[in-house]
Amino acid sequence: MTRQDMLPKKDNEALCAYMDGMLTGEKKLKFEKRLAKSLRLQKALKEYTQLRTAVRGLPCQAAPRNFTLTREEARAIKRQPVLYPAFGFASLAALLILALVFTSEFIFKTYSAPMARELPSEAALSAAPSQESALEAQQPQIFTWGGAYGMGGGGAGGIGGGAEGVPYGLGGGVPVGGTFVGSSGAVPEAKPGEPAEPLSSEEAGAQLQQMEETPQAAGMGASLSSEPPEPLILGIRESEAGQIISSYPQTEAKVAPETAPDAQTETSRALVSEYVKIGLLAAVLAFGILALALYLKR
Amino acid sequence: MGEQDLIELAVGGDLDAFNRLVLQYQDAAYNAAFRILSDPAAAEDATQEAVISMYRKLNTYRGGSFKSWFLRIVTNACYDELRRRQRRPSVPLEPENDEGELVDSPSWMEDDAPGPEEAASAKELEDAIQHCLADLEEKFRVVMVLVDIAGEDYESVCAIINRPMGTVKSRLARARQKMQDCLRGFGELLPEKIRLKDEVME
Repeated sequence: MTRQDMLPKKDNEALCAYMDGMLTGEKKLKFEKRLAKSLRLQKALKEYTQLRTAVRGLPCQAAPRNFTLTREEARAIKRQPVLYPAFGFASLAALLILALVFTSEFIFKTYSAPMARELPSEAALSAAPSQESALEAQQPQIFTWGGAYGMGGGGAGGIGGGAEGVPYGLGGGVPVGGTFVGSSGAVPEAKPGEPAEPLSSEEAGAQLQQMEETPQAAGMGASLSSEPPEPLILGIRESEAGQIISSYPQTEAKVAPETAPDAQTETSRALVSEYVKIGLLAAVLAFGILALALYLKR
Repeated sequence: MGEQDLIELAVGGDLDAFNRLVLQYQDAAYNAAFRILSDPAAAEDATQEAVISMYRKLNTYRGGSFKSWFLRIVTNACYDELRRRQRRPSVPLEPENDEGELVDSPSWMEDDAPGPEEAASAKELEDAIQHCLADLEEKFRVVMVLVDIAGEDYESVCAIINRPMGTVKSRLARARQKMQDCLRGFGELLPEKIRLKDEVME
């Protein structure tokens, strides 16, 4: 049959349906009108009718034997478990659960990780003040000797303020703005080990006089004089003797281990245990292989 | 005892009633399987599988034509058999000699080649139709066998192959067109009653 002889798909289907009595009512009348006018359709109808007659005329192949079941066969069929579909469904179910686990973990990690990066963690927040205190703790402590209001040398007669090897001027310390100034007048900005510039006795006396005239020094002196302070020994009160006052090196050491496990838990946090995942994967494989083996054995 | 009574008894577990139903429809089932598979042994296996499957699924029968329901199971068994064949393809029928070279006229072809005198016989017509049926794609072949050989109507075929009416109509039309093209190739080998007489129409 050439391409021109071939009927369009729609006509071909309509012709077959008409021939088999599947066209009714309006459709049938419409097609019969077209058929009456078209030689091509008439030819095709004749060919199809011949073909159908020939196919229907094929001899019926009689069954070579009876396919009836014996009682034993029937019992065996009823007993036979339907393992292949069961294993197949089990494998599929395990695979779906596994996919669900991985998908939910992926979503959890994808959407929770950026938020965790934006917000400082509790550990980081708790570590911040301790780091500050550690920094503060690293600042040199100022020790006063002989009371805050100038016990000892007094006046301009300090003991060799700023002598090398002695960090701060001893004696005659006067608190100014929260810091202590030795009688020599050396400001304790100098780091330990750095010798203070020695002042002459006239300069020291002038500075001391100037300090006494400042209201801060005057007020402080008044407040301090109102209640007698506990004497300090090397900057430590007697009542605090034998106790740990500051432990900043340990604080620093603690900061790292506190933050490290927290970060670890954040990165390695998983919704489902690894053992469960491995178990699911094993179930997928085992059931799948069994189902496949049974299917191929059929 | 009517078919409906037999069905009810069979569903209730009566093996004798079931076997009587099998005897009633086994020829139609085997014939359809044979036309779909083009192989008597495979058709026998498929029919047996279908009977076993039918016995197992008896409680899922929900009325309607028992023959159509049985043919549906047979068709599924044929599909399974065709899939098995695809997984384990048979030795290709390439005419090669011992040295692997193609042979123009192998002996097994010469033996089966129809002569001009035999061409007009019914056996030749049957062979030609069966050959063309086997050449059809599986989906077209099944529809053609169910409609033109098993005598099922379109609606039953829809239920058997689980496809809509439009698909059944389309597949049947394509199947017939392809069958016709194939049979034209046999030309003078076919008896006159099926040979297409173009000159008459023109």
